[in-house]
Amino acid sequence: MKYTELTKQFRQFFELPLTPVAVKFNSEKEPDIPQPMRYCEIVRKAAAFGTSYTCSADDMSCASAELALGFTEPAYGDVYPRMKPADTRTMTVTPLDKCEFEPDVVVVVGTASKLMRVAATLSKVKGDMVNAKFKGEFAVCGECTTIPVMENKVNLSLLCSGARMFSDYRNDEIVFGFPMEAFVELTESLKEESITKALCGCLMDDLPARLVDAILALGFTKGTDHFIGRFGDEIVRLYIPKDESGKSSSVTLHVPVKFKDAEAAKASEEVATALFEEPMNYRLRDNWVDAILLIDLHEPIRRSAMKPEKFNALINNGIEVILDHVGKFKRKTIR
Amino acid sequence: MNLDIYKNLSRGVESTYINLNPIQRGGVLTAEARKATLEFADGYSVCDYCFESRVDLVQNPPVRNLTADIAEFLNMDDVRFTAGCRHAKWAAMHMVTEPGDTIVLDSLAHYTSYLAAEANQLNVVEVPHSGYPEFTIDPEKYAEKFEEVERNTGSLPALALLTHVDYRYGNVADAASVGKICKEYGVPFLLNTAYSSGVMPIDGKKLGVDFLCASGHKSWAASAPMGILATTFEWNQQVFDKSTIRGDWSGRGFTKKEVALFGCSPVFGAPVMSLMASFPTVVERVKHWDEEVENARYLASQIERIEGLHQMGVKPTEHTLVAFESLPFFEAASKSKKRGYFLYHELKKRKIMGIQPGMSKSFKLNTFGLSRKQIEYVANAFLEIARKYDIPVEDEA
Repeated sequence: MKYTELTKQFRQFFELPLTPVAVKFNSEKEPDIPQPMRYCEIVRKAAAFGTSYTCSADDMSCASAELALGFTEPAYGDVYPRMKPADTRTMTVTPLDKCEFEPDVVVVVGTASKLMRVAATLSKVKGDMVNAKFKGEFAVCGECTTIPVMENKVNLSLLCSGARMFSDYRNDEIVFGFPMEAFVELTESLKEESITKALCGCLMDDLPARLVDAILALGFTKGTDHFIGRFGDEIVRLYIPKDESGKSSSVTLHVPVKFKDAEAAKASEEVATALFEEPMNYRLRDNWVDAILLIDLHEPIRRSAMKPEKFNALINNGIEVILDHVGKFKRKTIR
Repeated sequence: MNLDIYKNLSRGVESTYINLNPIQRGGVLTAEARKATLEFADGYSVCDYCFESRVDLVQNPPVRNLTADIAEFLNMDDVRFTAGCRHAKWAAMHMVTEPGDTIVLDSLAHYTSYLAAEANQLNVVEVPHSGYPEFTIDPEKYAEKFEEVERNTGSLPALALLTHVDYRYGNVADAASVGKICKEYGVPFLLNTAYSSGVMPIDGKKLGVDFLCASGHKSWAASAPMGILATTFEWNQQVFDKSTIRGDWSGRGFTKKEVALFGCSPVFGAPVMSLMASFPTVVERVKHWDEEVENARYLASQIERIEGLHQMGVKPTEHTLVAFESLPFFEAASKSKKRGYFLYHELKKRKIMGIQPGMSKSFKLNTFGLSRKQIEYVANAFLEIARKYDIPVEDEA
């Protein structure tokens, strides 16, 4: 049930109480509406109560809708917007999640604040402004059903007095009409950022993308706790320490050197002490000696990463220094 | 709605596989628990002879005894069952703090510790860890943070939380020192023992703990959801406070029900009975903790024979949950059709599971409860995979 999923995704993302409504011109279904209604009323009932109706021209209690939806040609002059040619026999209106046909249009009813988010997301997906055509007449029928079909564009409507007076639309509601394809494209693009980010408190959740990119560009890859990369014959780790207040203005590079056992590691301490002097340091860990180089950036790391040349030079120089010292350390301690 | 997908359910895990999943090792049911789980699988199966309206007071099966025995086992005064360790943390916070209070917690705490605080409208102040590669928590920093909170808010934190064994590196924090600091400052101390009680010896009094939260399904060989909240007589009245609400029209009251436990903890079936059935084994198995750690150290030393594989956290490890960084596996993944999933698939071929699919830059595993023979098999599998992908392997020392 593709439409069930689409509906759920759309409603959940935009926090919509009403269901998007699927509309199809000339479906296979026979008219089954209990009494004549306005088209906009049929749409809102579907959105709010989940009703599904198929109606013919005889079931339309609004002449504007009859014209706009192409049930009849205008007797004189012309009307905009309207379906051309006027060959509509029936229309089926159903909540999208219950839809069993390929809809022509999806109509979304919501408050201005909710549909503002729809508009913002739509413009991001399309990379353009949302161009709406409306005039406060022929709203749900013409502006949100006919225009999406005839012009294959998403349209927004501030509704019309008929809809607000007779069809139960609230004062704060407005309506979007989508060609089906546009609705699918928008919905499939929706991603809940908080779901895809920070799954379980990775230690580097809070690093800005610019900083991560700067470090990746140096030849590191990002782990969950630190960066790691192969340089020369060694694997170098880059860690971003934080001070007591959670700020970072330095990085540390690490190269752990393995000995056959803890005793051998301990025995290398004399060499380590001489070689790994400020800003270098070392730590004994069982049968490993971790060589550490502190690179002080003298400014917050976020700012430092915005100056790529200087940042790269500092880190690359640090990598050279630590590799050189570790090389010497290994030569003097590990036969 | 396709109801067929709910038929013939199976876990898809062969019983012949070795499971290294860090969150699953301590929750593997004993044979007795498996039997009890079937026997008490029905919803309210523990309530056949419930005369006191609370699961912890049921005498047949002997849940009341179990409550007392677990308190004795943990060297605490009073115990209640909860719907998981996370519920225990939430309950303790809920009953001893007020919205707007500040708590201090370690920066390696499980997300549920943060969420429990959030749900109780508490502010959190973190104790920093030492950073790469050990990620340890210095107990003294709790004192610093207490004073910082007092300076900033005018009062000491309402609670201090320590994660006894963190889920990322398996470091065993110095709970006794934190407990001592908490006593000195008069700050209540909550210890999250999700990865410790039930697998290693824990003495709540020695550690100076006011609230001890445990996970039955993580470390006590119980079926989920099963948690334990243990406390002292200093706190039990407050934490296990009874309901005082009364219907304004009906006059109904529920004065035996404990508020933070939803009246009667929702564990009245397979969860509490599997915990009970496994309990004798749990009491026995914690005596062999040193052997368990020895096994984990052995595996770590074998995995570190692979060039570039390096155990993070405290070395030698003090726990069976061990984390490794593994850049060479990540590099090998780029040459494999399975990409990052190659390690998972290679292990699966060798009937080993539990390493998170898709992870190759780093991975975690837990050796708890595995025999030495199984661990040797796992070690060989890793070495074999490394060789297969041309990653150098050191000769055995």
